[in-house]
Amino acid sequence: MKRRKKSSRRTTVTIRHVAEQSGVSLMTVSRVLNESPNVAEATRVRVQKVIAQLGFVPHRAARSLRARRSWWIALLFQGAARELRGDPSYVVELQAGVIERCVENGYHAAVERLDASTPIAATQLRELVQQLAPDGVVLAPPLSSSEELLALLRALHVPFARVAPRSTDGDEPVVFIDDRAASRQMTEHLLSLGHRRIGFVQGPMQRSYSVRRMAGYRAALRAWKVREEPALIVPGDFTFEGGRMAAAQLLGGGMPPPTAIFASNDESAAGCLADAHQRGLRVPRDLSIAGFDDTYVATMLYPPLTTMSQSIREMGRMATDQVLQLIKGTTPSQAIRIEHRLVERQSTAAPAVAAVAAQEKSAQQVP
Amino acid sequence: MSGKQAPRRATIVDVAKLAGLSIKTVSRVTNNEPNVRPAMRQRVLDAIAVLGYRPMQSARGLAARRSQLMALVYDIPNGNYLIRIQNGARQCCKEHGMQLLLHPCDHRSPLLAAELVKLASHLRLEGLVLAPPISLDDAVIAALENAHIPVALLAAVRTDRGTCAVRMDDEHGAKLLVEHIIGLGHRHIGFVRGHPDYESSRARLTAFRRAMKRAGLEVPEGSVIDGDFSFESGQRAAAALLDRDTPPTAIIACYDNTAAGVIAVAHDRGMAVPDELAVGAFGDTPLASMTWPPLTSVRQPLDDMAYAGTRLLIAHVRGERRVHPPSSLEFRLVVRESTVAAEAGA
Repeated sequence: MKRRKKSSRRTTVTIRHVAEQSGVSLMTVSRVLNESPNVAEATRVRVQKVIAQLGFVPHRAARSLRARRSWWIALLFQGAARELRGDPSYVVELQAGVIERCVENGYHAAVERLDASTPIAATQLRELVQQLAPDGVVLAPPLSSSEELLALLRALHVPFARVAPRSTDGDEPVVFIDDRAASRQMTEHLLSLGHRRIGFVQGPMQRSYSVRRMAGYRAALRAWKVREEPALIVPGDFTFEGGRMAAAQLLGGGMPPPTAIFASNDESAAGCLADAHQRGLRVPRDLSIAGFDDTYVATMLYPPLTTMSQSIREMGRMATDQVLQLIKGTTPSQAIRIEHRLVERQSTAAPAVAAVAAQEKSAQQVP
Repeated sequence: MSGKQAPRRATIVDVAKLAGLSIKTVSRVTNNEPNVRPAMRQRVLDAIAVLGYRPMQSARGLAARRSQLMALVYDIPNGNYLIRIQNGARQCCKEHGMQLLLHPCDHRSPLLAAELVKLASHLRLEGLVLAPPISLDDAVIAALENAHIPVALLAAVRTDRGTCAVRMDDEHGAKLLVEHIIGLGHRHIGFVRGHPDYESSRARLTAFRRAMKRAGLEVPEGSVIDGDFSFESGQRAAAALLDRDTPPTAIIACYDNTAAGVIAVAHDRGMAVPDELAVGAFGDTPLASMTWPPLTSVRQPLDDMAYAGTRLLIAHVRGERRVHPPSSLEFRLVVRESTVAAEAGA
C-alpha cells in the first residue's frame, strides 16, 4: 500500500490528465490505450498526441518501469500441468495463504505446476522466469528440495522461498513444521490412551517429511519403552487406496491386530477407516485411527478423524512474506517454523478392555 | 513510451549482440513464437542465461500490445471445485502461450465491477475468465463489456453470440442420478438443495422434480430441504427428512460434502447404507471415494468447461476464426456403494 501512494504523487501524469487535456472521457483514453475498436480515428489521434506530450505511461507499465517489477509471484507445485487428483486441499490452502499476502501487498499470484521428475522441469522453469518475469517464486514440496531448480533460480536472480524442504539449511528462506515432533506427539497421544500395539502407515519414503514422521513414531515408542514391532510398520503412499491396503495388512495379515493405527496423512487414515468399516470394526471402540494434516476431509469422515493440524495456509503466508521482503531488498528470517496442533476428534479412544486383554496375551506370547 | 532504459540491466540489444542474431529473432524466442530454428533458439537462450536478461512483461506488452496475461476471477469456497476449474483454465493458457493469474474476490461486493475493470487495465490483462457465480452477474458482465474487457463466462446461463460463454447441462447430469435412484426402486426420495447463489442448484432441483414426475412419483411438501453444499447442511437435512412420518429410502444431496453429512446421520442412527438408506450426490470429489460406504456421485465436466471457455476467450482476443464451443461437455455418473451394495463375496 505504501508503494501505491508513492507512485500516485501529484507530479505523476495520470490517465485523468490525459482525459482532461484531450477533452474525452477516461473510458475513451482507456480504449485508445487498449487499442479497442469503437474510437473515432480523429479522437484516437488526438489522445495519442496528448499521451506523447504529457509523457503518460499506463499504470502497470509505469510501476514496472520505475521499480523494475512485474508485480506477480509464482507459486510452484509438483505435478503434471493437468493433474486432476493429488492432494487438492494442500494446494488450495497453500495458494490461499500466498494469494492473501500478495493481495495485501498489491501483488498478484499465479499457480504453476512443474514435474520435477522429468528432465524438462528446469527448461520449463527457465521459460517461465524469462518470459513472464515473476518478481519472486514460492516452491511447494517436493520442488522445494530440487537442487536443480533452486540453482536455476539463483542463477536467474529470482528471489524465492521454500516450503517444507528436505533440509532447512542454506541462505534462502524456508518455512517448515517440525514433522518429527508432531508425529511423536500423536503417537504419545495414542500411548497415553493406553494403546501399546500401534500400527504405523508410512508415507512415500522418498519424501523427507515421511521419513521424519516415522522417526517421530519410533521416538515416542522408545520414550515410552514400548518395543517396536517391525510388522506394525507398513508402507503407504499418502493415498486412500494405499491406506486401505496398509490397514488390510495390519488387520487381516494373521498377526494379533493393533488396537490403534496412526497413518502418515489423512487420506491414508481415511483408507484405514474404510477397511475397518468393511471388517465390521467399530471405530474407536474396536480400533483407534489417527491421521496427519487436518485436511478438509477429516471432519467429514465417520467418525471424524483425530489428526495433527499444521496450518498450511500460514506456511503460504509466511513464505510469501519472505519473498516480498527479498524483493524489497530486506532480509527475511531465514527459517520460520509453523506451529502444529493435535486435534482430537472421535476416531481415537482408549482401547476396549477385551482388546487390551488380547493384546497382553499376545505380548506374553512374544518372547 | 518505454523511453528510458534501466542502467546495468541487460537489454534485448545486449542479448542480440551476444547471440549474434537480430533483435527480432530474440524477441521471437522470448515470445515463444514458432519459426525459430532450434539452434538459433538455443543461442538466444544461452545469451539470455549469460546476461541474466529478463524481459519485462509490461515492456513486452507495450511493444507487442499484448500482455499475454489473463486472470481467472472466482469466489469459490470449495477447494476441489476451484482446483478443477483452475486446472482447465491454466492448461488452456499454457497451451496457447498465455499466463493465468488468479484473482479471488467477493461476489457480493457492490464494487466488484469497478474492481475487475481496474484489475484488467492495471495489469493490461487480455481477458478475464469468470467462474460462477460471478459469471451469472449481469451487472458485472455489462460493466466489463462496456469497458471493452473480453470475458469468458463459465457455467453461464446466457450463451448469446459475442460472449465466450460455456454452459454445463447440469439438468442432464442431475437426471442421470435421479433416474439411477428411481431405477433402483425407490419411491420416497428426499432432496437436499445446493447453495441458492448457484445456477446448478436450481437446475438439479428442476431435474429432480421432472424425473420424479415422469416416473409418476410424488415430491411431497417437506421432502425438499434447503442446503448450502456444506457437511452440516447435510446433517440438518438428513435429520429433518428421517424424522418425517414417511421417511425417504433415498436422499439426493447437491454436493459430496452434504451427502457425507447425510451418511454421518445414518451411521449415528444405526441405519445401514444403502440397504436402509441410499445416498446419491454431485461432485465426485476425492471425498466421494473416502466416505463409508463410498458415494455414488455425478462428475461435472469442470476442467473441460474451464478449458473450453478459456479457449473461446483466447480465440476471441486473438481474432482467430471462430472456435466452436464443444457441443457437449460430458457428465458422468459414478456408481459406488452408497446406492448399490457391493455383491456379497466381492
